[in-house]
Amino acid sequence: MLKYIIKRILQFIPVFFGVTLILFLVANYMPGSDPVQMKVGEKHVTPELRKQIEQDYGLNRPWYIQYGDYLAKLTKGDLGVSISTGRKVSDIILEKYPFTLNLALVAIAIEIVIGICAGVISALKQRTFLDVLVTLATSISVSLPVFWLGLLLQYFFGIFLKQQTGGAFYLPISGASGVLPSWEYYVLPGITLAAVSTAYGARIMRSQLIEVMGMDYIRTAKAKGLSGRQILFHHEMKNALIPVVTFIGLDFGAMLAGAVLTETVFNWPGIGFTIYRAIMARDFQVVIGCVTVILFAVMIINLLVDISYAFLDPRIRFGGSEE
Amino acid sequence: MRKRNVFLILAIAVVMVFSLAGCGKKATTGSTSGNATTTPVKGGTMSFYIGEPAYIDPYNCQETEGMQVVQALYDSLTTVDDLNPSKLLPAAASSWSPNADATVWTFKLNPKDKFSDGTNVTAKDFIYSWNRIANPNTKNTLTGKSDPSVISYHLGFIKGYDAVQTGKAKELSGLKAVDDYTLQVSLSQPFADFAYVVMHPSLGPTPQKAVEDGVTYNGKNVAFGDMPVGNGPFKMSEPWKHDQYIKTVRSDTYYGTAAYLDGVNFQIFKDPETAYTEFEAGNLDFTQIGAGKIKDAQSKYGTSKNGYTASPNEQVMLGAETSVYYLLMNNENKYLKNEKLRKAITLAINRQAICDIVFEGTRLPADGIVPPGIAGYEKGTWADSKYDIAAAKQALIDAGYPGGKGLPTLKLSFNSDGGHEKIMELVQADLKAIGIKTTFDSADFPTYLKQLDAKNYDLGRLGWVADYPIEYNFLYPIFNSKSGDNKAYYKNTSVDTAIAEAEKTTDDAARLTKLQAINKTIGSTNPVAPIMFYKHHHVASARINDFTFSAMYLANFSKVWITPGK
Repeated sequence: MLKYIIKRILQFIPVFFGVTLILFLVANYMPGSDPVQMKVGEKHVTPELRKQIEQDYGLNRPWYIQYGDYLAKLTKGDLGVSISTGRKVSDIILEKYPFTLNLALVAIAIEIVIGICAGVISALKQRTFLDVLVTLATSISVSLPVFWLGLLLQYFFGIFLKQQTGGAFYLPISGASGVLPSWEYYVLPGITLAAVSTAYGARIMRSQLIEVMGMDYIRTAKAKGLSGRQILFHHEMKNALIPVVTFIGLDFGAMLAGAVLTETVFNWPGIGFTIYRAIMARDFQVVIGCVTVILFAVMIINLLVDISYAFLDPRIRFGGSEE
Repeated sequence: MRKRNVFLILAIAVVMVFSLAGCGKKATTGSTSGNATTTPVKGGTMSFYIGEPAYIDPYNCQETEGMQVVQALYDSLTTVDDLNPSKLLPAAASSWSPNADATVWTFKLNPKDKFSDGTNVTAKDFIYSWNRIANPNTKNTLTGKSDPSVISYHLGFIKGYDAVQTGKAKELSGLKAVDDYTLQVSLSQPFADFAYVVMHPSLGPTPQKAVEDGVTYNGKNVAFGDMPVGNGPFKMSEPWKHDQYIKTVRSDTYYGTAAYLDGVNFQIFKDPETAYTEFEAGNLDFTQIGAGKIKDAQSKYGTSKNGYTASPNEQVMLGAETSVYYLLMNNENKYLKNEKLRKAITLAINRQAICDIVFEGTRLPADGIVPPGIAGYEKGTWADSKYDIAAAKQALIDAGYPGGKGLPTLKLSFNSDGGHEKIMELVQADLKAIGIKTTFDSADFPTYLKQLDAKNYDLGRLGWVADYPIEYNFLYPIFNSKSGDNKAYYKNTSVDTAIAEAEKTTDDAARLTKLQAINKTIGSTNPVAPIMFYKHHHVASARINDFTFSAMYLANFSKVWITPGK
């Protein structure tokens, strides 16, 4: 087991180099783009400015030296400076990323708890009212546009409920206040962000569990006399969870990249809107810096997902198939 | 069976947790019944909606959002009455007088005027600030790089302005501190309206030391641009939290009547619709009304009697603003420099429909660039600023693009955070009706302004609010070839000269006649397409009293007070 984990962590290193190299090449040598213009954003580039920029950033050196320089700066945490505001990109990310991270954690928690529970319930109570309810709810949830759901929730929980209960019972509408908002602020945006993924997660869980429930070894376990709960937790769930964990891991990675629509509707000061605005402003230092951090986060998530496989599936733990 | 119960119970528990979420919160808005107090009471913090500003450092404060903050933090030499914009009032200057031909203006400063850090405001501080605005090499304190002010043209008539702009001099030769409290301004030509110009909040005094060294907050050094220091009724309580809020508190060193409010909390929203939802939930004291919700807001919150002042149950403000909403056309663009094409575009726009559909009839179609309420307004000064499809189609043929043939798809740019989508959709449809195809290109306001500065647009939009309530302020900044606010890049040197000539005329009536003629000349070639004159579509909460949001789009934070206990 330990060997497997160490092997996965070591694989991290070449992946990291590969990813940052691609990012670096795309950032600086995209066909049709001008690296000098990318450094200044919207400003018009005069010949003198061009010379100055090339000197300041060493754009005339060979690409592998520039790449080495970029890596060196990365290890020191220097992601460059934003053109439009002059702030350090690392400062901007440190300020905004915790919001995105926290919201993603809340959404993933909702997804895991509600998604898995709903999937299991509907698989166990197949073709009953509960199953139909879950299937219907997930279908609706998947088709809802994220921002529309957000607006609906805002109106219902923020305004309607408040008016009906005379102000005693309501949820905050947006994250406009405070440094790190208290937990009530996470509820509505968390539900909005998790809605579609929860639906998918529940469906996958349901179909996986149904498939596993029909397997021969489950029939053997029942014949052996194991209780329903033992069968569920020790056999059915462990086998059914692998695709679900994969999906949740991918989804977490996507959430860590920021959610522009949710952030706009709920005025959430996260990284998604920052990247969107940086793209509009042609502020590439910010975009590249944010993408680098997000890549890291996603790589770590993938690592964790792979490690969790080792816990779920002994065949992976001990390497190679048995028979 | 036991196993499903575990999951069911877990699911129910989760739902219950979320339901309990609201229970812990105190009710912040009670009912509006109870004793109505009419005497102002000190206390409370007002939460005020703004979009993310481009700058709150006055040297480059160029748009309405930053302006709300700047005018709470700074008092300039003069100001105007909230409800009567042509009435000049003393502010940082207690009195002023021009010489016989209005070429030298002497301002006597109020000796009680202090910055929020306690130091006295002297004539030297005004001179330092104005030089900072005029100098093209002024550094932006946030980036440390040179970032010239785009509003320096306000100082265009001061002696030495051209020398500073071209780098021949570092300071305006026309500024002189006769003594600590007397500022003498010499102009390069007579300018009868100068006392109005200096009311602009961006022309307030800034302390040199704070600008150059920054300020200290919680032991850390913060750049002046994130935490400006001024002489106004409020001061920053913490640095600007970008995209979130700007918090200000009452300044105890203010020379005038202290404000009733303990502070103003400027909440920054990416989307005015979210802000209006927050307002309806009772969490915001002042905001723009959401699209299509004006009549609904009027029935829920009552309408202000004079359109500008809000009090409980008279909260919706719909007064006419001294501002105009216009379609920008890039006059240097190879297609749009054709005057007939611009004529076709302006004749194609159904202005009344926009006012009716998007603003429920509460706005006025624009028949020129100068709005009613400004002395010298005349109906129909821009002959083509009306809806006439037949004439538009004809103009398109005259331009050489019959039915739009030969024209590429033009880019229609606008700022994404101001609620302009619906208007732009109607404009796009109007243009399509005569054969001109357009695509949208939107960015947030600070980015959009930079795009305009880089001339990176075909068609755009802008709103112009009077900085000072005179006709000159609509013609010079928008159309003078050297003005940083001339985003249409209209260039007509004879108009430049004519405006300067008109301002030499000290007789008010004669000056107005000249400016009206210039207005017609500019309008004859349609450099921009005026669409409508703004009206307020704002609302204040039920606990706000005596709050005036003027026709010049400036809030008076000194007189407003909050009903106690709310």
